[in-house]
Amino acid sequence: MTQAQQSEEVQPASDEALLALVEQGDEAAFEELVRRYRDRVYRLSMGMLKNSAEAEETCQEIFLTVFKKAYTFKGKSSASTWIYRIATNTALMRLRRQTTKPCIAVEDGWLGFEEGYQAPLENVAKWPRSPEKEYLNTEIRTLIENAAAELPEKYRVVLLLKDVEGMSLDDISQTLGLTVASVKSRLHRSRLYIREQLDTYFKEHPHG
Amino acid sequence: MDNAKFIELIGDYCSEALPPKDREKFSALLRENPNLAAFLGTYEETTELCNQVLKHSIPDGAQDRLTTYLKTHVEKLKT
Repeated sequence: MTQAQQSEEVQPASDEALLALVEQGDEAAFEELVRRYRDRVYRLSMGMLKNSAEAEETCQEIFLTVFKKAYTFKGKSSASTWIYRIATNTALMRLRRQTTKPCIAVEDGWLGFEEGYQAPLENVAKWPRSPEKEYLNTEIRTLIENAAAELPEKYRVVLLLKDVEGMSLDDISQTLGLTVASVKSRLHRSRLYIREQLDTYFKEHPHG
Repeated sequence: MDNAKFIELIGDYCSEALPPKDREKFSALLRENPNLAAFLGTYEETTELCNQVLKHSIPDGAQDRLTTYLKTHVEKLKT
């Protein structure tokens, strides 16, 4: 067996193994962990805070916490869930320190989603459909960004973890300390809200 | 199944979390009612659009600043 073949068979260290090394102060392991998670942590921070400078500072704070608190990781959840928990808590804390931007009042019976949403099923706009989403222009992007930003933070974080990060419902429930049923409900209502905004847009700007 | 129930089940249907019997009922409903199928299509499209639009990447400059920040602070913590 050549050296190259041998090295191909070397498995990269798991996130959990890296965290164990970080606990001992291993900087190379920490660098690798940061490399693996920096995009995900930045995306989540940016999605929550909507400000690149704030997202950047939050990322720094999150990874420094990971380094300092590595000793508290006991393997009860995956390393990924543990890191996401630190990331969401840090982003949420920072968000609460910001001047609060008005968001939609989901709790006040917003669109009645919690009592059985009566969507106008007979009057759905004609949406463009394409796997590559060529129709996705700046206007639609902005609409989605704004609609997501209008969601209350506890809804937005679920949407980001599921539809952007692709986490499982179980992992999200562990990360946020919620039941799977609550996660599903928040996710569903967030999607319905954004869908509603898009549907209105496509009624006003018909495609095809 | 009324509209409210349909809406309630969409999420589970999309994530293939419906029990087989309910899934069958749901699929039959979609075949019978193009309006429901159209609504479902827009729901699925919404999740795909969210994924595409909200997926921000860390800018290059920010990556470098993150590395520098962490190196400096980790050094301090260790001393």
